[in-house]
Amino acid sequence: MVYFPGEGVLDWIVAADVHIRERLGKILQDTIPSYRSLLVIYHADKIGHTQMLAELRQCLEGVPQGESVLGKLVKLPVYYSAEVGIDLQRIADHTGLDVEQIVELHQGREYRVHALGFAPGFAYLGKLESALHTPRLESPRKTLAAGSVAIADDQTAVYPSVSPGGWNLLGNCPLPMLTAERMPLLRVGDRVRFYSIGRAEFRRMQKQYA
Amino acid sequence: MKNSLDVINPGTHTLIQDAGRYGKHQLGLTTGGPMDARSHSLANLLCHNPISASALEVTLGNLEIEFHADTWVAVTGADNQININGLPQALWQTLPIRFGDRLVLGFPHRGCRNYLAVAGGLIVEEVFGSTATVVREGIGGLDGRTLQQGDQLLLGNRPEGLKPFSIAASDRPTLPEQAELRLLQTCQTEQFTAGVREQFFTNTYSLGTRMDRMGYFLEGTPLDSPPDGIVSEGTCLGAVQITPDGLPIILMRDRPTIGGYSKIGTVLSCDLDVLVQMTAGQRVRFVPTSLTEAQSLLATRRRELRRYTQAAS
Repeated sequence: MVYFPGEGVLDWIVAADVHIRERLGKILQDTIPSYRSLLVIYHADKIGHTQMLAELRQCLEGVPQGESVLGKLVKLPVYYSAEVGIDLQRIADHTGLDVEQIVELHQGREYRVHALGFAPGFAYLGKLESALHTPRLESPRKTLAAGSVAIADDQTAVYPSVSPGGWNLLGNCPLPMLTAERMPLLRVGDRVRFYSIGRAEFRRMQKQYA
Repeated sequence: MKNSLDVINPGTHTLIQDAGRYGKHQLGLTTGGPMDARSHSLANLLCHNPISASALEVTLGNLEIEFHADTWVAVTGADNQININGLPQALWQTLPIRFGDRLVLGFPHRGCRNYLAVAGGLIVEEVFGSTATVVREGIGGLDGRTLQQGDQLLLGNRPEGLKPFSIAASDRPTLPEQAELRLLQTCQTEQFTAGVREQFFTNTYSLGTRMDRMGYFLEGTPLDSPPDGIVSEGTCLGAVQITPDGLPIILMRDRPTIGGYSKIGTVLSCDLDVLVQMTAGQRVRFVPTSLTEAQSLLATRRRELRRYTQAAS
């Protein structure tokens, strides 16, 4: 596990991930970039631990730091409503904000994809305005609708498919998070903006992408 | 007509698994692959297949299949009975199959997962570079699902001059009632106080109702004051997360690749092969191990597989 100290390290992590994959290709099993870290999983039958650490250290020194990797910008429509955002009231109770303020704050920022995981195409987006921070549910729900837009602590995300989940729902995004080839729409490093749509537009888009 | 097998009874939970889907964590995909990797490898070696060939993982038995091929099979894993056309046969050895033969695998006496390999392997379309079935993702195998009655699976060509052999009794798993899981302490172990770590290694945990391909939720006395969660980060096979209520979850083959619970360490993969054969109510303890021991066990495992690869050639 490689930890990256300080704030605003996402571009550094993405650059390190690309660099390590290029340099160590064959001895790597996989890598997992996340908020502050990069998990490097190597083939223990191809290289010893000590040697691997040395290779990794050397590799990390060569990472171009400070170079911006800025991913693509993706704009996601959201139908913010208690009809699909069943935790809007819970979020309001916790934050002391009204629903209108919650929606304003949620769509008022550009987010970055910090990690992909949990389910195919599930992108962890950060960071949420601190006034919106709301803890996860005590126990996760068994099923959530595909497209559910949710928040937990300082993160937000869109559930790509029907799945269990413990985050607070505030709306639904009708745009599919996976392509027909099941490739994720979002990748680590990408930028995301949410924008509000009404019920009629939401239903129309839902039909369009069904 | 192509070589195939027909599924007469799919069993309780039967999945197609190759060695797993690697290099796809970037897409948020987990690895899948056999829960008991050693038994999966040995079943393939008995059929002269590469250890990564696609085979069946049969959890809790009750499988019945009919072959439309002259070929060879091998069944490994849990202690179970198999018969071919009504005649009892042995596990852990290469068995000849004639066109039209029916193979029945019973409900395991001890252990819970069997691996059935066929010479030439099962021919299944790869998804993201692997045939491993992950039901949670709906990916791999047959549309990401368990086998169903009426499924037909294509078989690879059986190799010429295959020499049947068996796995020595001493190399078969012991399937214990209780197990010690060797834990490699990792970068987050330090987040746990010495007292909490001692409690963790002293506790005996039992396997509960939540144990599946994603993770094994252990039951027992909760740890006092477990650390708060962490900023979500990558997880690896065998990682032991401690939940806020102080109980461990061991992450398995279909684990989410990102997690926000603190990890006290990682269980050695060779001990996971033992764990995944255990059933509800059985008990485990954790014992600390070192990187040196872990690497030496890995080397032993490699030598063993090489020995049986040579036996097959």
